[in-house]
Amino acid sequence: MSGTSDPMRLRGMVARGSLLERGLEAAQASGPTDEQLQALERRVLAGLGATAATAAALTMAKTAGTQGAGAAAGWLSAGSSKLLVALVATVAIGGGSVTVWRLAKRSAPPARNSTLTPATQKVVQAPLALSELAPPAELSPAPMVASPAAGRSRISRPAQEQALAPSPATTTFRKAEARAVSRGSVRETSDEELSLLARANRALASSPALALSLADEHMRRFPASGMDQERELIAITALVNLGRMGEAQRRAAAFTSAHPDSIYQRRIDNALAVRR
Amino acid sequence: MSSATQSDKPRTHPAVAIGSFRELFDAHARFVWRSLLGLGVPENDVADASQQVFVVLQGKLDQIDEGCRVSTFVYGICLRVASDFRRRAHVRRERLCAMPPERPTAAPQESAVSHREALDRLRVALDAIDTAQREVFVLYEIEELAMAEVARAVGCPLQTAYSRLHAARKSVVAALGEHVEGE
Repeated sequence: MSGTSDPMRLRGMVARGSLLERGLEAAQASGPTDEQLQALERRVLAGLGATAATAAALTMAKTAGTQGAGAAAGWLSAGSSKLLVALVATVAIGGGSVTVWRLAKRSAPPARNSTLTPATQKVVQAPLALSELAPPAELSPAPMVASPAAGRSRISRPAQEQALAPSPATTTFRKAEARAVSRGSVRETSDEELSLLARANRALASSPALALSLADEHMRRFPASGMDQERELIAITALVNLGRMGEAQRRAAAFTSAHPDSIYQRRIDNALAVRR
Repeated sequence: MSSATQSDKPRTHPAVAIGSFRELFDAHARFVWRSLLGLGVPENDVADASQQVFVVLQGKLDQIDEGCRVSTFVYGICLRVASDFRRRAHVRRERLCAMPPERPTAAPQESAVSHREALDRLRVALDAIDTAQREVFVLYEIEELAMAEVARAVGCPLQTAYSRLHAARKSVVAALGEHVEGE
């Protein structure tokens, strides 16, 4: 993606078959082999202090710090709607569901390596432990038109194929759109809409009532939204957090009939299960 | 997270859910690796350098600003990590007195040049130019960020980024014996 005043890229200007062209191609195709990537992943994730066992239920908590009572969704709190979308889209691309952050109350922060199982969660904490989600490979494959293979299998894509894609940042936006389009919604997602969803998402921890209200506002204002599944996920989570289980279950059932084989189904099931 | 009760975690950074960090990793690992190579990190070091980028990223998650894309932020980290590793590699090379051989600037028979060799030649050409220029070149021409993003990742004004790109292109094109329209 270039700005309108950006020069043409060098690759488009050099002679075909030239040394420079090959060099640029080779540079763009470079990257880790699958083995290297897996080894790197193990090291990186191990370095975060989580083993497979404790990968179960770490939460994302944000110190209120100077933010006062509005402690919001972890590192998304300062983020813009674009950041949320980038992340949402990123996650969606990977075949995982929308990352609706699980937010711990300030007064009950988890120790760094603690494992919070569903049984110990308080209702005010969003019950979506990421560990409860199926790994992306198990999720039913959504008809993702422009996205790479879901989750784990993405790692096995040859480096060359991956590296020749356009820059990741723009790819995630386009692919989120493509995914929404492939789901049957033809409307483009506006910044305004994304901003509303981002606010709803951020509000989940501190004020599920606000989150629900924003989600419902989204539903009213953007009835044909391509992000309706994400909105419903936020709304259902908010209802669970508010203890309104009957409504959460009804809304979840409506979701399931409206969106069979949704990649978010497992996440919704988990949200409901936690509060049984 | 109340800092008063977090005795085992003196930082005020958020504790990142492993699941979500894995998502970050999946989204960014390949380009981190690739851009580190482009930025001159030796192949022997790129795995370590990549890991370093994610370590840094984890510690800086709460610094991702309003309106900043995660990938732009990650590129910024790559630039600094690459700079560290290049410096270390340079020091190692000096100690060993094993400078890589200078490559001839005349292009050999085009058809005989493999991608690997072309890549090596490009890397040598990039090693030779000013770091600031290299960074802009790599981010624009290889990672294909928009110039506005490049400027943001690098932390310079847009005009400066343009002039660095221009200078880098001149050098690279000359080093690889190319003729390019308009350059």
